[in-house]
Amino acid sequence: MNFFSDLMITALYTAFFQNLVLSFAYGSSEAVRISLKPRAFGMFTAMISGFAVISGAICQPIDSLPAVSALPESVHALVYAAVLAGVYLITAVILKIIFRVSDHFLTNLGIAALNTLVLAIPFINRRSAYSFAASIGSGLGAGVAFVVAAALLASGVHRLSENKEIPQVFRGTPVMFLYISLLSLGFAAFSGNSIFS
Amino acid sequence: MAQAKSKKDNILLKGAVIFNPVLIQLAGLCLAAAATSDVVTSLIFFIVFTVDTVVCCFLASLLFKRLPRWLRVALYLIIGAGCVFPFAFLAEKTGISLNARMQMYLPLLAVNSVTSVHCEQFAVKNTVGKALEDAFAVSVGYGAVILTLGIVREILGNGTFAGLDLGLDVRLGGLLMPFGAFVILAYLAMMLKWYINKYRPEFNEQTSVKIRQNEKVRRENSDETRANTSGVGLNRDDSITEMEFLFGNEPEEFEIFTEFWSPGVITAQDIAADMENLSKEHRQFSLETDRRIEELFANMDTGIDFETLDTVTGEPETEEPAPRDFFGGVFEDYENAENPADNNDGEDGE
Repeated sequence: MNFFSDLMITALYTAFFQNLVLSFAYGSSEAVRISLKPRAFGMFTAMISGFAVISGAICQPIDSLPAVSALPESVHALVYAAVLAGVYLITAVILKIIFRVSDHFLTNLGIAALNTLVLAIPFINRRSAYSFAASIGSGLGAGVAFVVAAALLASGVHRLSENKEIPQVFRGTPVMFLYISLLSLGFAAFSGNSIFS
Repeated sequence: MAQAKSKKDNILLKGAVIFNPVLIQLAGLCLAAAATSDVVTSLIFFIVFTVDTVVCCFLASLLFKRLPRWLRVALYLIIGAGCVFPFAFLAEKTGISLNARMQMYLPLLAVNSVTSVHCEQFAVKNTVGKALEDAFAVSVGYGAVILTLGIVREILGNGTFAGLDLGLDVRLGGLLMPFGAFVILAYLAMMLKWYINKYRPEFNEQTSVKIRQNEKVRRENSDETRANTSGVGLNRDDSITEMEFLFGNEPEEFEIFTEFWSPGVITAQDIAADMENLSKEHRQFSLETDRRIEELFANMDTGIDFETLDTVTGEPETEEPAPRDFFGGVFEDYENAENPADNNDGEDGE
């Protein structure tokens, strides 16, 4: 019961209160990119959640080893990158050899696995001293945060592209940045930071 | 010479300014928005990013061209981690003032999308020299953006410049959050767009973000427009569209399109049109070549009877040549040769 409640609380916190994509900009390039291809949402989100959960679940026990926890921060980064690369390569080889998936699918898998959002999860778990259950919840929450961000972006981008009242020089990427900034501001409200200090 | 210089300038201008990785290609947003809250950190990120991009593009162009794409992306992570690790370790050991948050963002440079996009879209398709030029140009473009962000955010958000207090009364703490970075990025993108519109209008089309719709949606939209203008139809229900977005069942297909980042949606018609053009050119080339050869031979009197010429030896054929196998041997040899296995019979047993 404790395991499940830890997992759920962390997942909800990571996804909605501390939306990692909009509040901290992790994986924001991928979110913008996928927001322009809404058909890929489901698959891409599942991939991101999967890799975030797996990398978090592997790195948390490694971090808790006394020999590893004493290492400098930079060495931890190297360990996380190696774990992520290993998880991705093993998954890709299994999918390629056993399920014979296309190279296009594997390319998407690479984008989903090797991005700042997935690599940031083990760092966040370590800094927040999350338990194993919370680490898994954090990975799941990252996936949900990604789909929330991408859905909001997709919906906004669609409307912005049809709005003829936007001045010419603001059309395209400038207005997209402004839109992302407003979404980011909305989620920053949960953090309790002050805009004017 | 002047043409080569102009070509080089073109790569630099395109990579750094016209197709700026952040402002036009929307790549590397995480680090640009979250990690550039002061000048020193931005400078460190710029240096590490340059090393990472140059090394990745160099290796991609030199060694990775024959590897599958899904394997290359993992190699970029490993190379990136290898490039970033010494800097992170050095910063930790020498006590360079990287705050706790920056210490976390520095390793994330290993998976930055700018490097992998340029390795995939440019380096693996070009020579080492061009890949290095592009890597340098992209680093300059990315560096210019993150340094500008670092300067503006530190001055207006913290009231300092490189740690020195400027004594400003009002400090906009919000600029130190990613929200502030996106606002500044919006204005930088707007200025770049203005520059392209005014001074380089030939790139206007290529640098604008387009949302492409497939043929079915275009038809639906035009039907909808017709219905709306005639006053008998209603707009599509937006809430349904959002649900469709979430569950991925909608028929719409959008794709961002810039020159380097993505090839956009390539339809079967596009491929068929390309193939048609290619085959036309090929047919024309073949016909022209045949015509020239015929013309050449018509004007020559070599005394050779081409009808009976052996195309292998160049000698006139005297009899039907024996069929040859893949390695150039004659099939008859195999038929007449003794089976080597027969000669070994009994030897193994002795």
